[in-house]
Amino acid sequence: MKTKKEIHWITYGLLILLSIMMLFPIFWVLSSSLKSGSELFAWPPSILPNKITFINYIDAFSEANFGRYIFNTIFVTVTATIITLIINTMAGYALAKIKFKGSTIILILFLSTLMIPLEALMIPMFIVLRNLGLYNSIWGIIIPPAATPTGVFLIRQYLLSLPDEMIEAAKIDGANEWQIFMKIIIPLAKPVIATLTIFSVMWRWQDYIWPLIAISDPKLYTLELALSNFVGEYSVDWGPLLAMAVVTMIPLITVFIVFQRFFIQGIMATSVKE
Amino acid sequence: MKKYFLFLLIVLMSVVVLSACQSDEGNSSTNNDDGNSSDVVTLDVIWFSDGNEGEVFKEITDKYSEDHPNVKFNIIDTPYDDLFNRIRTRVSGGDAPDLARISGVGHIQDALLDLTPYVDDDFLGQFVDAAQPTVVRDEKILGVPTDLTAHGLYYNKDYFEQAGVEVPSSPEDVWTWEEFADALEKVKENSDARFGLAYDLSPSRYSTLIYQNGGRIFAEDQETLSVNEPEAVGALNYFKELHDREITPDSIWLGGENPNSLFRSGQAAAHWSGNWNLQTYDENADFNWGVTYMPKGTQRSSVAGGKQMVGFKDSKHKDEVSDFLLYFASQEVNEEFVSKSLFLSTRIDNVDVEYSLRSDEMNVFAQELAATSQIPTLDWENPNMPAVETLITENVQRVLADDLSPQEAMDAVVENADY
Repeated sequence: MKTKKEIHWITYGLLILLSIMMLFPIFWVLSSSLKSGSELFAWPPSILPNKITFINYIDAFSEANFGRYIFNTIFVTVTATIITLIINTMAGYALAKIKFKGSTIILILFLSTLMIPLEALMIPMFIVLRNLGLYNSIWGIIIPPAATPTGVFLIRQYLLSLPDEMIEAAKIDGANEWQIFMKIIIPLAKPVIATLTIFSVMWRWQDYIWPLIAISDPKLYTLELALSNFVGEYSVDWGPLLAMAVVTMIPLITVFIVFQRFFIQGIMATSVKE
Repeated sequence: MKKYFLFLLIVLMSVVVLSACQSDEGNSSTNNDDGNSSDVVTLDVIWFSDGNEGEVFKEITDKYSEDHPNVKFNIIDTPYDDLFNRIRTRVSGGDAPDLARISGVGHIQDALLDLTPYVDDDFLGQFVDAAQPTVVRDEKILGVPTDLTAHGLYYNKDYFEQAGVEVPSSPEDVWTWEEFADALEKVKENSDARFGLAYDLSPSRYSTLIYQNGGRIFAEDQETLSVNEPEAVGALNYFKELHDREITPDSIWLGGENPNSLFRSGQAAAHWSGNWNLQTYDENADFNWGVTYMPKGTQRSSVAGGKQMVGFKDSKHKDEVSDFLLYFASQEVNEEFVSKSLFLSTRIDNVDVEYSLRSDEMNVFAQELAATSQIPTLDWENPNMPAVETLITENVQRVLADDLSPQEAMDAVVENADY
């Protein structure tokens, strides 16, 4: 029979081991991006660069217009996330709390769109995009994926757990729908909104196939598009690719650290019911 | 409160609509409009790069725009894996690009511009034998061949010296297959190399052995398969022997290890690959290396891979497109393109081009190509090859894993080929 303390240590040991396994790839990318071309492929590989060099970063920034790509990506991510949050919280609230005819059918329709992969929709979506005059415009990458069904579903499931009595009480006190939404629902839904923010930032930041189709002007490229251009038919330009991967990771990690507290709350709250 | 909400919505909508309009205006010079509104036309070029050829192409188009102020280029860099994805979406979406650099017209031949009306009868005669079949389909000329790649052999000079093994110095005294395996084994045992030969995991690189043994993948009628004939099976026997004698590590074909890294990091004494690695090895390998002749089975052979520049038949600027294609394929421009990008030329009159870098090594690749018949090109341009090449890879892997004998594996390719 093991004592409590022993179990304690085993748990921590396992957790530390797992953390190292999770963090090592990130560390490896960072360390490799600081190695020179020949050291990158040296055998046996060195954990830390023998000689730190920033040549890969310099190459990447001089070869391609990365300042521009970073601006584009930030603009797309922020705008798309704001639009996503507005649309999804409203739709999620309506589907969770407002009784109207056909609400279940609408929800099922929303969810069924999740089952069609983007690849199958690509050409029809491209035609719609072109006829709207959004092709090759930055709004072409922002608007079509903004109303994500996953987000609507996430918000709806969370709001279902809020008691209806609260809303009824607010109604008796004379609040209209808009006031209920802004003053009661939004503050209570903070954790799930934070979760959705993280998801949305992640989706938009890493979006690849849709921008590839919707954009042809190199001035409008996002980071993911620019990154993949380091990959040719026969060869991969590893040095600059790793350097840019590091630069691309930083904002995502920052967002996660900032919203982490809410994120964990959000997941707990959607999974546990009283 | 309701008012604020409405107001917010209206602002949002108008921002969206306004910016959509704005970017449309910004694009008025591209081919999205009907082209008669202004004299300047912008040609959309879908491009992919392995090395620096994108920069060289940019210089060429800049020079062209100087001479033709009414033509501008919008070069759309695309990762190779998504090249045909992007082209197909744009063509089916009714917004075909004007030009594209591709590897193999077979993927999109219905969308391409036929150059026959724009060229002389002897146009194709300017190009080498290995390049001509890459652009001709049903008597149409669907593009211009721009550059060729050739398979060849890199070796680590330091290790070969260490082991006292000499490499062939001219095409006349190349190794036989047996001598080649023995030489690699000797280098592996008497130098710091961990492996003898890194061999690319690729059906195309593998097929070099078939051609060196006098075999072919498709029979002469270009319909049936002859990959289970004794010559091709013999090639697989030899390939298996290289692995059994641990000259080539199993980890590449069975484990997905990167052969480039094995050679670049000084683990493998030689690398069976192609001329496209010259640039990266020149920049990143910090030991002495060279290129030598591949061994011969019953004959010498390499495999030519071709790239083409094509126009699209839905382009709104067909005259400008064909004019530029002919300019790009002309002797001087082609010389500049291939010599700066380290490609082998497709033009007969550019066969001995001076390269800015590693000219001797490039020359070896050129000679490998000169010793190669049209059979590899015909095989690899065959429209049914995409269905067959994966089968070849899978079944070669099964032989290396001791699942099947070479004869069984090649029979399986023929049986399972479905086209």
